Formats: sequence, C-alpha cells, structure tokens
Amino acid sequence: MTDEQLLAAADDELILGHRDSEWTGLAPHVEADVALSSLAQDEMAHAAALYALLSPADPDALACGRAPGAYRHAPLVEVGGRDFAFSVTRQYLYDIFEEQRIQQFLGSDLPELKAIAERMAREERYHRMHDRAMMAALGARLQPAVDRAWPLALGLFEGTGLSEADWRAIVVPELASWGLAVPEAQPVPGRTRHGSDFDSLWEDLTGLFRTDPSRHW
Amino acid sequence: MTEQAVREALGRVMDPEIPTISIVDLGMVDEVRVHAEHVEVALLPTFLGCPALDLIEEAVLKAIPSAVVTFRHDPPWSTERITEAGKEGLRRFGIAPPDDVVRCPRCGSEQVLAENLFGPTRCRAIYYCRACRSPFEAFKAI
Repeated sequence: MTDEQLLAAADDELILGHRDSEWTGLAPHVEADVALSSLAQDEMAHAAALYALLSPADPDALACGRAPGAYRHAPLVEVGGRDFAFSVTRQYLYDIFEEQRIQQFLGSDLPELKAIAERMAREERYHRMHDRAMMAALGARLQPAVDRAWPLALGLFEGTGLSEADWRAIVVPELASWGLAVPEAQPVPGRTRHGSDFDSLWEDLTGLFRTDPSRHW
Repeated sequence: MTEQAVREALGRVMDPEIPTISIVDLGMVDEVRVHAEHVEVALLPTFLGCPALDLIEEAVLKAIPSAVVTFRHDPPWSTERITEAGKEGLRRFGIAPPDDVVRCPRCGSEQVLAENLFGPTRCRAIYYCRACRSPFEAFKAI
C-alpha cells in the first residue's frame, strides 16, 4: 500500500461524494434524494479519514489545497451533468470496486488504516444493497448508462494493484441478471490528467479554501 | 473525581440527535483515565466523520469541565456496542434498534418493509410497518 494509492482512494471518495451531493434537492424522487445525499456524506467522510491519515497536521490542505493536476481520482468519478441513470450505474460499478479496495486496506499493516477500513466496510454494505436495489428496479433502461460508464469504470484500476478480473466476475453476471450487457471497450485511464468536467468541479470544491485557507473545511 | 463518577456523568450526556440514549449506552466510551488535574475521555465515533462529534465533545465538557476529549477509530465502533438500555432508549424515540430482525418500535410487529436504506441521518434507514401502518426509522446494523 503506497501513499499514492491511498491518495487515489481519498480523491476518488471526495470527488464521487461531491458529485453525489449535487443531487441534493434535485434527484427524481425523494428517496433517491435522501440516499444520494447520505452516500455523499459517507464518501466524503471516508475521504476525510484517509486525508487525515496521509496528512495528520493539515488534512484540509491536502483535500482542497492542490492544483487540479495533482488530484489522483479516476475519470469515472469526475463526470458531471444531470444524468441520473449514469449516477446510479456509476455508484454501483464504483462500490463493487471499492469493496475490493477496502479488503486491500484491511490487509495492510497500518493499524489505523485497518480500523478506518473496518468502519468503511460496515457502512459500504448499505451502499451495495441500495445500489443493487436501484439497478434491479431500473434494469434494462440503464443500458445507455452502462455503455457510457463502462470504459470509465475500467479506468478505476489504474495503479491500484486491484484485480479487474475479480471485479468483472461480480459485475458482469449481475448486470446480465438485470438485462444489461457489457460493451467491448478499452479502459479510459486518467488518474494523472483530468477532463474539462473536473475544472468546474475543482473551482467549486476548493473555492472556500482558496479564498481563506484558515477556514475549517 | 473517581472513574465511576466520570462514567456516571458521561451516562447523562445524551446523543445530540437522539436525546433518549446516552453516549455510554451507545457504546462510544472507550476509555476513562482520571489524572490529578484532568480526566481523559477517549470516545469512538459511531460513523466516520460523524457531524455530531463537536456537539458531543461540547456536551462532555459541560458535564465534566476538566475532561480532555479525544476521538479514536481503533477499536472501530459498531452497533454491537449499544447496550440493552440503549436499545430501549432508541425504541422510546421511535427508532428500531439494530437487531437481526427489524421490529416496529411502536407495535413490535415484524411485518415491516425497508422503504429506504438511507434516512435523516447517516446511521438510520426508513421502514414501514404494515401492521400499524406507520413509517418508522431503524438504526443501521453497522
């Protein structure tokens, strides 16, 4: 487990949490609104715990004080816009990936990381139950979202040391059970270079910190 | 102050969002150490980054002015740490405790439906009781 891998995990959680939070008040129905807002809080709290582990003296500066090019999240999590089907699909594909990542943390020899991972694991169980219920309810209507999210989801694995094959072994049959096919696609890498969606997200996310770094985030 | 007096005082510090359960019954108190000039109180946050932690620290300081409060993640908190008295407190507030079988906190029926695995706070889910036809909240088993 390298610091770079931990930073990638923290950044994935922060950026996905930020995107989830953008649904607050705007999701298609109230249950989805509450769920996405809670998912956002969970992911951001996980990010905060990981930043505190990486930079105990000043986690806020690590979370909000970097130039856009220094963030290490995967392209999947930065995609913006009002595509609810994409958000649901992204959360599912990401949470199955994250389950593996938490197992990796649990196997680390850092006691503090293991303790954080244990808490994450218990909370994430609810994410996956929710994701699967949403995927099953929306079923084949999610095909365009799967087509769009799939190559981006493959890009999650870059540099993580996690197994795409293990992840495929879970998601491919589950998607099939909901009437969803997986497209032929090459992974979209990009943990070290980000797209235009990230520019506006970064402005928004780091605005307060850049205005006054002494504020408590 | 003796350790027992500290623990009794902590037993009167209620969760800021669920006023019928104390932080002791929630299982948040990991360690109490009494020193000559101050008292160390080590608490386990329930959820990572729970937004109520500042309020809980304030409430502890109000109950025990000489307390120095720290939060630690190791050992990780889990709902298994909630005491029987704590579960009763949850029910009294209308929240089903985190048991294997979710029962309606009002009528005790097991004829319940999970409406939403997320709720008004990160630790609660929304259920519906088909017996007494009431929505209710359940503490997540985490």
